[in-house]
Amino acid sequence: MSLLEVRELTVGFPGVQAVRGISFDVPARGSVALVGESGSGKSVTALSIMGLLPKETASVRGQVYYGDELGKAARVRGSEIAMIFQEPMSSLNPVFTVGFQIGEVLRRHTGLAGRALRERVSGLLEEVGLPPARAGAYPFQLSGGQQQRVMIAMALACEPKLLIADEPTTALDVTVQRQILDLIARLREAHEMAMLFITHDLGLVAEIAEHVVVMREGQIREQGPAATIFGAPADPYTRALLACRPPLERRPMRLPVIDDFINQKKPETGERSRGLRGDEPTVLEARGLAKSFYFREGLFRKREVPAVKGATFRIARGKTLGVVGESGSGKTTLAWLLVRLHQPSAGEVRFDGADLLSLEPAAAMPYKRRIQIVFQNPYASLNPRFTVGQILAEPMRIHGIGTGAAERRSRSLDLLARVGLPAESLDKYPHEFSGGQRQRIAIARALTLRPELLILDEAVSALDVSVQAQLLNLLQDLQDEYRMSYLFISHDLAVVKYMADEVLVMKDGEVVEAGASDELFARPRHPYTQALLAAIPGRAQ
Amino acid sequence: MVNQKGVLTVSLILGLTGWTGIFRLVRAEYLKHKVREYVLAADVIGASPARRMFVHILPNVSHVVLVQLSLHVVLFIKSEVILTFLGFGVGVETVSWGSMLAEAGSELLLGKWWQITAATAAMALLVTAFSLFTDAMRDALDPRLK
Repeated sequence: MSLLEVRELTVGFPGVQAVRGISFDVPARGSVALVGESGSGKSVTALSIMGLLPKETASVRGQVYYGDELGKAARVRGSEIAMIFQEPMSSLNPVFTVGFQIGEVLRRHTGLAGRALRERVSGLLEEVGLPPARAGAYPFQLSGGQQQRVMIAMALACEPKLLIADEPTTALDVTVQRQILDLIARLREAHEMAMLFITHDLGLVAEIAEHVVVMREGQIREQGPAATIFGAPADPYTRALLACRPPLERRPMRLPVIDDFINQKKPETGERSRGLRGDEPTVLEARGLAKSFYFREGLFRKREVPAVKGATFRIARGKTLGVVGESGSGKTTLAWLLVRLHQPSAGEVRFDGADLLSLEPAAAMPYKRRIQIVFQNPYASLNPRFTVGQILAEPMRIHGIGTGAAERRSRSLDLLARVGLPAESLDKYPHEFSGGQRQRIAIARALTLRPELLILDEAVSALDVSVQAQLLNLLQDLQDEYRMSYLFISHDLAVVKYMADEVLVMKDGEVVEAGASDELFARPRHPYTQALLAAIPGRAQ
Repeated sequence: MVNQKGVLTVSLILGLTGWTGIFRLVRAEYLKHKVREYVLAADVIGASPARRMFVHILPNVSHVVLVQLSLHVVLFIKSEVILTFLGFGVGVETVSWGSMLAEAGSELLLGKWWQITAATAAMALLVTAFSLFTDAMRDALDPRLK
C-alpha cells in the first residue's frame, strides 16, 4: 500500500507552470528520490505536498492522498510528515538554543514538558550523533553538519511516518555528506520511515533510494526502480544526466551533453591522457606561500588564524593543477593570494622570473594581464550595472588592447562566439542570463586579456550537471586552443580528476598530498585523501 | 553675513551639518560592496581604486543616495519651517513657508484660514512629488527594471 499518492499534480505561478501533471507514489517504509536540475519543479512538488506554497500566488491542481485520504498530508505535516531543508543555518532560529528548538516541536505536537521534555531532547540529540550537552548551543556555534543533525532531530521528534528531505546534503562537504547520508539511512531503518529524497545529484540517489523519479521542466521524464534507472535508463534525458557527470574510472575526450542525447548524436570515443611528461616549462612557482588572518581578542591581543600554511607547488604551461579540499581548507585564499587580492604572510610566487607578491601595484599591472581568475558565484561576479559589452571592453581598455571602441567590440563579439553566446548578448545586462551563461561571460572577460594562467575558483560548482559538462568541455577546448594553464579549484573530486594533470589536496590550510592526478586517485597515500575518495557518493557499493 | 538671518545662512547651516548621516550610510554601503566578487573581479583585471569606487560601486549604491536625498529634502524643508517659525530662520521680510506659518497663527485667530492651508498643501505636494521623482530616478537607473 502506498503511504503517499500524488496524482496529476499541477502547480502554476503567475507566468510560469512549475509542475505539469505529475503522478507518483511513496510506499510505506519505501524511499523515493525526486531527481532533477534547477527549475525542474522538484522542490515545488515537495512544498505543495506539505501545503506550504503561498496561496495567493500558487495555483495547485491535482490530488495528494496520504494514507488514502485526500488532503490529509497538509494537516499532518510536522507530526506524521517531517521535512528537512538544504540550508540548515537559515532553517534554524539564530536566537534560540538548539535544545529549545527541538523541544518546541515536542511541546507543540506531543505536549511533553519539564523533565520528560529535556530527556526526550537529549535522547534525540544522542540518536543523531550529537552529545546531549549540545542542547544548550546556539546554531552559530555548530558546524553545518551538526546543524543538519539538529534539523534531523527536529524532524524525528514526532516519530514521522514520512520524511521529506530537500537537498539535505548539498551545502555540506563530501565527508560530512557521507556521515549525514549514513545517519539518515540508519534512522530510516530504525524508525521504519518512508522517505522522499529530493536531489540534483544522481550519485546520491543510487545509494539512498529504491525508486527514482526523474523530473525535467515540471514533467516526469522517467520513473522506476533505482536498478532499472541506473542499469537501463529508457529516457534520453536520464541517460544524459547519467553520462554528463565526469566519470571517475575513465576520462573521455569530451563529456557528453544533454543535446547529444536528445539529438541522438553518437558519443565521441577516445580517452584523454593527463599528467606531465616532465619537460614542460613552468609558468608559476610558489614556495612556502602562507597567509594568516588576525582577529582582535580583548583589548591588546590578537588571535592568529592561519588560512594557508606554507604551500609549495608549480604550474606547468598548458597544464592543469587541481586543488581539492573541503570548505575552510584554504583553497580560495590560495587563489586570492596568486591574484594579489590578499597580501601573503610569507613565501614567494615566481611568475616568469619575477616575485609576483613583492611587486608594487604599478609594477604588478603587466602581470595582472597574464593571470586571471573566474570566481565561484556567477551571480555576484558580474557588475549588474554594466552591459556585457562594457564588461568585456573594460579590461581591454585598461590594458590598452585594441585601438578603439570598434575594434574592442569586434574582439568582444569573437570571444562571445568562442564561449558559445549569441552576438546580441553584447547589449544585455547580466541579470538577463542564466547561471551557466553568466559563467561563460566571466570566462570571456578573463579571456579578453589572453592570460597565460587562468584560476578557476569553484567555477563550475554552482551549476547544474548538464551545464557543468558544457563548461568543462569549453574550458578544455580553450586550453587546447590557447595553451593556457589552469589552477582548477573544486571540492568536487570527480570534476578535478577529469580536468587536472596534477592535484594538490588541502586540509586546514596545509597541502597534505600532491601528485599526478591518475596516481593520486588510484593510490591515495594520505589518510585524508583516502577519506575524501571514500566519501564520493555512488562509490560505496 | 553668516551671523545674519537669511536664506543663505539657513542653507549653509543645514548644508554643512546635514550631510553626516548620508555619508555614514553611503560609506557603509561602499564597504559592503568593496568585497563583492564583481569589485574583486575589477581589481583583478587592473581597475584602479578610483575606477572601482566611482565606475563600479557608485552606480550600485546610488539607490541609497537617492532615498536619502528624498528624505533629506523633506527634512531640510521642515527644518527651515521650524527655524523660521521659531524666529531663527529667514527674516520676516522674506517669504517662506516658515514665515507664512509664523504669521498664520495670528491670522487664523482673525478667521483667515487660507494662508496656513495653502502653505500646508504646497508642502505636502512638494514632498510627494519629490519622493515620486526619486523613486522614478532609481527605477530608471536600475537595468533590472528596464
